[in-house]
Amino acid sequence: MIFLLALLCVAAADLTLPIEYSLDDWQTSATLGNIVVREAYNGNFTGTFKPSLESNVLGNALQNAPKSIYRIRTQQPEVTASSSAKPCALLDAKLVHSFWVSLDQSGKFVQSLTVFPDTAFATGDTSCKLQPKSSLAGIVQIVGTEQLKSPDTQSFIEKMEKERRARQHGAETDNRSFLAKYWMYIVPVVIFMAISSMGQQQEGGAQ
Amino acid sequence: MKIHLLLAGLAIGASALYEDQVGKFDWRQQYVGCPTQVQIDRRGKLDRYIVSTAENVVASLSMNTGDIVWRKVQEDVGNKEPKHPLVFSGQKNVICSVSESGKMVRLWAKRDGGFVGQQLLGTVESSHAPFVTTTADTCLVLSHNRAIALSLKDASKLWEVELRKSDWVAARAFDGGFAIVGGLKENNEVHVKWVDTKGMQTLNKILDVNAFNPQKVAFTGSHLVGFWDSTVYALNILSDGPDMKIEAKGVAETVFETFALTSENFVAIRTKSRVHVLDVIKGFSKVFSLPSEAEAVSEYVNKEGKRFLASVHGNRLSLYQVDGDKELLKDVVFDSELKRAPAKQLIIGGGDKEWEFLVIGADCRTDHVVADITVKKAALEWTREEGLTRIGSVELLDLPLSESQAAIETEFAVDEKNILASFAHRIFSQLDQFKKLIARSADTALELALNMKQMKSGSFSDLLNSVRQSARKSHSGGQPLERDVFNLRKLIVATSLGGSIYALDNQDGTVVWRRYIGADIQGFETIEGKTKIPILVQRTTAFYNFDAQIVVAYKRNGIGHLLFLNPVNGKEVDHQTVDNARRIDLLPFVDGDHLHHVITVDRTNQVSIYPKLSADAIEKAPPVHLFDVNSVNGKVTGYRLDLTTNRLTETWAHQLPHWEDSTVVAIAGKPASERTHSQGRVLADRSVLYKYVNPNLIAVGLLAKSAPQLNIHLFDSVTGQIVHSARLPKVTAPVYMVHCENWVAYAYWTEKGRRTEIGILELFEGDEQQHVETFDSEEPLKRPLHVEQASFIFSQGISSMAVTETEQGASNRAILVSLPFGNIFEVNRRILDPLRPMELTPEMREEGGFIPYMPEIPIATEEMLNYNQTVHHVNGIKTAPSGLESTSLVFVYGLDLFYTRATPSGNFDVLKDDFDHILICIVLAALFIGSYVCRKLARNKALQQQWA
Repeated sequence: MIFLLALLCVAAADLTLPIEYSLDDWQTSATLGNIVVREAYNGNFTGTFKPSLESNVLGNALQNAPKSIYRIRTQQPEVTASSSAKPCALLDAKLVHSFWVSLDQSGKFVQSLTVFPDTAFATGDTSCKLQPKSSLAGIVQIVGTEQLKSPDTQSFIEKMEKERRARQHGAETDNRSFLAKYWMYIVPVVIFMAISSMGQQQEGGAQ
Repeated sequence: MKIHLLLAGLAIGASALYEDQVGKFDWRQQYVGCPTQVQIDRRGKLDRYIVSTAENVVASLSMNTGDIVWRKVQEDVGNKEPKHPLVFSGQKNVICSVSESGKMVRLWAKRDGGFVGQQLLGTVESSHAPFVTTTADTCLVLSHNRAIALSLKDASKLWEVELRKSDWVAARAFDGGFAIVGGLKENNEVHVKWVDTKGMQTLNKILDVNAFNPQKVAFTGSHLVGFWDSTVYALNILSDGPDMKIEAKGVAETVFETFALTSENFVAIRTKSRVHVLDVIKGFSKVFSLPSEAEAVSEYVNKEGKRFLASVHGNRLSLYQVDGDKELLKDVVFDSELKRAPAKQLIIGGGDKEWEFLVIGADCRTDHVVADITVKKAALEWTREEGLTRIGSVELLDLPLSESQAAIETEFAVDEKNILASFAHRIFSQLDQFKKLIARSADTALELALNMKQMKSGSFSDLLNSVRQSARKSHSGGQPLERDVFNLRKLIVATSLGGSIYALDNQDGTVVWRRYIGADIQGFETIEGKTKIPILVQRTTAFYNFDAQIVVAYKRNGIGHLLFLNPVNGKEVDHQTVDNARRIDLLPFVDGDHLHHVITVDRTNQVSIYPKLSADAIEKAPPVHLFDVNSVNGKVTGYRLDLTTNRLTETWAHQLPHWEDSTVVAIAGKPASERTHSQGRVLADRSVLYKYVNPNLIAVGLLAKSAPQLNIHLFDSVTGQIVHSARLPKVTAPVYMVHCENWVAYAYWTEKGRRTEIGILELFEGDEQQHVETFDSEEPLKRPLHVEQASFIFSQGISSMAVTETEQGASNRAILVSLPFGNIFEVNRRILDPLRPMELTPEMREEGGFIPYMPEIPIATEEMLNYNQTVHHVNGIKTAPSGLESTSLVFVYGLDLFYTRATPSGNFDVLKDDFDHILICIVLAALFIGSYVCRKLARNKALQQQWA
């Protein structure tokens, strides 16, 4: 039981990625928030972004440096993954970030972190001003590492086996009734007989 | 099931060739590689050169024609030169070759190249350069600090003797056995060992020597000759006792090279300006000096024992008789080409009146020269372009528009208001076309008449030869270099790692032009570990008012060079040197002159642009993104290029996982010209699966070593987003990968199944298309990609992989795979399809076109693209679109060159070869006449009926 619990704990362990941002090529940086990645029991990942910064602070900073590059990064013990966006596009998207995180096979190592201004919230305003009702938020999409398939010989052999069996035992057991199975042969015979008998009757009538 | 297979075969395998089509669309050129050692074989009817080459080949070439009589291709060395070149030695019937830096010794029959036997000497490379010498019945090989004697009958080992650790070795046979010498440079010593024919050691001596350049020792008679600075050394290795000592003699100038002459006890030394022949026995007395400079010198002794010395300098040849100090030929021009590569080796074939010479250039070009000493004239009899065996990069370029095509273009380009002028223009261009037609017909008629004349005289074989010759002539020399109707004729521009650039005509592989850049140049190392001399196409021939332009990038002494050329005639347009270039690429947009500018990135991320961009072009330029992979730490960084400051600004970065433990198999983007015709795949239920066609997508294949695993990452180079990553455990090299449209095909060796497999990974956006008009990397995906994947067993090994390319991308793609036994196989994408269903449902049968999944890719020998024209040591396959949508042009290079056309979807837009034009004309005419006659008859009949 304890073992099972431990297993569950491991499976459900969260991965927290602290996100920093900068507008001056990392000469100064500040914390933007955290991305929490959770692995579901089916192996899929879900992620949520928890901002730790006031929307106005970021909005004003972006408004003051419209020509700079808005950069974000997350630092793991060995490596850093970073990405960037245009400040104006982010202001236009009401500060809604769309994060894409790619994880390696262990689910612990960030292969890439990419930020986009979420186009679903974009107003099309190019004035580079903080839009009303802007709030720092993020939608996180996690892509894991998939294992490639080997040639599917097993299913193919099974299929061949099935076909071989079908050939040996004739057709697969057919549960239809005699009439349902052979109606296409019976109907012409019946029609033919009917026609010929009608002809005979007519001939008889003439006599 | 069988029926399914048969159907699949019928549907796919319709690309086989008829017997009479052999050689019609394809050609093959066989090469031997860059010659390192040449011997002359004059026994038997045909005189031949026996050559061994840097490409691990032993071959015999006919002296008359330069054709290969036989060729023995040994283990592939890749595009790297082996540590020690192949060496061989021969007696009258058998030659003994040591290949793979001393690992393997093989015996070959001299006349027909028949295999006599072989012996494995070691599994690792020999530390010193191997040496081989032969007597009448024994072959002595020095390799891995051992002397091994083999029987020339069956390659069985006779005896073996351990040698002292050496870094150079040499041996010579004498009456009682062999004298073996060797030495270690740092110990300043020379070891001499005598071994009798039974392998018993009779003498073992160590001599001290001051300074001896071990790489440049030579044997002349019983003397070992070497040099150091301006001193020449000689050691008589056959005189036992006090005579065995090293004699030295100072010469006036620094010695560059000593080479042994065939006549005993004479040695030639090359100093800065001259070549001198010295007699070793007579205290190095000067016997003869060449009066002029020489790149290569060789000696020849005729049957009467007279000695001759020949030298070559540039395109001139000289021949002297040593004994009488006579000058037979002096600076005779043998080749009209002035910019020849310097000769690195000269072989004299001898003769009485007509002398034969073989000149091997630094660019591996091999010329056979015949010189008449009475009239003092020399002629180039045949040439082999062996530099083409080491191709560093290839491009297939369109030919320029023909004059008449260009005239039509100008006619429509000129916006003339005057109706009379444009009418006159029209008339003149039509007259011009008519004139050309007449000229062409006259040419054809003349050729035909000549052929007819030859047909009357001479044997059948003469006739056959003349027909072949004329066909060859009409291909290369006859037609001007201009585009044909279907744009099937192209120029193959290739760079050779030997230091030359070649342009070949794709009709028959003849060299249109060649340009020597220098044998001392180096290529650029790609991150996959390949050496390349890249060719970048700045401007194609699509613009009739501008010349096409390419740039070739190479390094000399660590400095990058950019050579700008006109690919049609090989003329230099410009030349630039670049320091510290880390990356050389083309800008993705063109300026007003339709020219793609070259950018170079140096180590400090400073960008240089050649030629400089105008302010107007900078203003109009779209954003340019670059990415780069650090080969040390595996960090992938994306940059945006600021064209005003020429600086790179970092936009994204990430780390390729497990970098230290991995090797890069491939980093493959997609060519900008690539087209995807269909945006989606229609499924059996008639829904559409939209393709994810991202032009900025990069595929990276990484092979982890400690826990064998293949990792494939697909990332967008603008945003750095890894859109998909996948892994496959238990995979080892060789791994090949091609990236095209929305899919990646990869071939690998699986440890689990112990076989080669080919996998395919296809990316789809799903059943809703996100990017309808144009693709935008900066727009996030609405949902994760839909990935389809499958893999198949491939029952053969793979040595190279490529994908066909057609003009509109509407034809099926096919993956071209070169197999180690010399064939090129075409795997259609319909076979290599992740959406092949396991079982056909009734709807699928109704819909048609579905091939049920089978885990193996069937390989039929008749489906080989190069039928029986096998090609060896394939380095790469280059494909290019033609003007016909069905046809993709394929050029395969390696030790051999092979060119053909591939039609993965069949020849749907071309009439069949055996299409009966005459019959259809007759039928049409008959119908026409018939209908006319019938009408008349019918009218007559109607008239008669009315009278009746």
